[in-house]
Amino acid sequence: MMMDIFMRRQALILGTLSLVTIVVLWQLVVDFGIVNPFFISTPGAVWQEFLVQLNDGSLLTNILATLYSFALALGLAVAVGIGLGMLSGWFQDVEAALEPFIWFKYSAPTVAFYPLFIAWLGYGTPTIVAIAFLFALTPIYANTLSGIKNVDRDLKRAAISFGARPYDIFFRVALPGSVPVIVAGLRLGVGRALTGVVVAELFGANAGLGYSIAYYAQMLQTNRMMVPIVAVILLGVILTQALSYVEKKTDAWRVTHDN
Amino acid sequence: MAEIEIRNLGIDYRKPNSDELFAAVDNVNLSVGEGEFVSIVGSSGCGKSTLLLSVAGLVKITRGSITIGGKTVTGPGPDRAVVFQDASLLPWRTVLGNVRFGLEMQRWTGGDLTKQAMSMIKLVGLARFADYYPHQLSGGMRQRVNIARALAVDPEVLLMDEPFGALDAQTREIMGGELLRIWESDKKTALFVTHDIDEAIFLSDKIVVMGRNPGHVKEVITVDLPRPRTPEILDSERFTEFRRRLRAHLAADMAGMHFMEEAA
Repeated sequence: MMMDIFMRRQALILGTLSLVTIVVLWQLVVDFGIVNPFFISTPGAVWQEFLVQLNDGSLLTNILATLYSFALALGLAVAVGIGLGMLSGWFQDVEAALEPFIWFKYSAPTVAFYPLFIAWLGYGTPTIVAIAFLFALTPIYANTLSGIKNVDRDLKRAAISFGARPYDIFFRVALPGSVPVIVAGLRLGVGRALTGVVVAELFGANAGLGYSIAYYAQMLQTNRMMVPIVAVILLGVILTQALSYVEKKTDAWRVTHDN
Repeated sequence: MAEIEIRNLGIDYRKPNSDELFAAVDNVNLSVGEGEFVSIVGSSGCGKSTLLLSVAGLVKITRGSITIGGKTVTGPGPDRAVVFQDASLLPWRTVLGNVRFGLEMQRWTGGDLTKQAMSMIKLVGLARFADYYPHQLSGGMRQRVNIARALAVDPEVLLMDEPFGALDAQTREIMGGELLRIWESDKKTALFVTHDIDEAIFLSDKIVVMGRNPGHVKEVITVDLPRPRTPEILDSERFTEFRRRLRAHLAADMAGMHFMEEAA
């Protein structure tokens, strides 16, 4: 236990240390004239620009626009992914029918559909949500499917011995047993939904962090561009960490002690 | 009322990845009287678990019949409950939740489910652990939960499939004593699969010795040791005699097995 805390603290210290080192190096390579600040900006300049974008409200507007699309896309992906995943996990025929689309999704880059979506849905939020939805769908669907399909055979047999009906086995055995796998799929989905939103915003949007990055990039304003980039990174870390926390909570019963 | 009659029972399994069938159990005849405790022993692969699971209604019968209290077994039923090895507890449910599980599946209508579950948890001595999850319990405690779950539905027949197979020798002995204490309180008809000879003698009124290829009944030994039984009985001369007789049976079967493995 003591060892455990020590190890965790040590990992935290080392992680922080390497992060700080990179930031300091970043500043130094510019200060000593090794790299032109046009390419990489500097931590100091990014901080200044952060305060500006915070005060004029543009940063918050962009974060909210990105979060809005993100929430819509993730919500849809969760509803469709878990819904279809449960059906596929339970009914082999549904799984077989959906298989070609899943192979499609795995092998074809989703962004390739981008022009098509613009033709159908126009520039802006609907296209962004559609792309991000497709990004997030696969891991949520695949994990739900495998969770339900690989229902523990010992538990199933025990349930049947007490007279369980298929309905009971699905809702009392397969589904609760799948929660940790489904949540793991959600964690992957969250990261991919955010990626999808930002990528889509780079190409066609009038607000959002991706739009902001593209806008300042076209203006060749590296300092300003760095602010939404850092914001995207932080957002990704926070969302994924939150899901990791939920994952650990729902996974607690899977700990096995051989005593 | 709850006697088990097994007549000319045969169970065929399909060989993996082929259409070929092989008999896991064949020509088994066996009677278990009401309130009798009967153990099934035999080397691995003799079909003892298959036999038990067919009485539970979890394995399809190919030939012959099984009746319980005159009613033919066609599937699981509320007159029977099975105690499995500890992997069969729901890891996301507490002790109470697991003992309630059987009652929930049966749509039990005998009163308050939690009250019924708690009285069984008390019976197996886990009252203090009702809110614990299976992974927080020892192997012996998990088996107490399994026994409580089966007893909670108040079956007429208790079926146990190597319930103590995963436990260490010492815990196993304690659990055997506990099982007898619980069983003696209302003497349900009990069928108990084990590969532990001492356990079988200590617990049973009758021991069914099974042989392999296909699984069949070699002999039924009546254990007429007095009840209630205490651990001292393990050192008695009559106990030793039963042990010797069973060992000889199983050793003959094992020898045959080695011979076949060498031939193969």
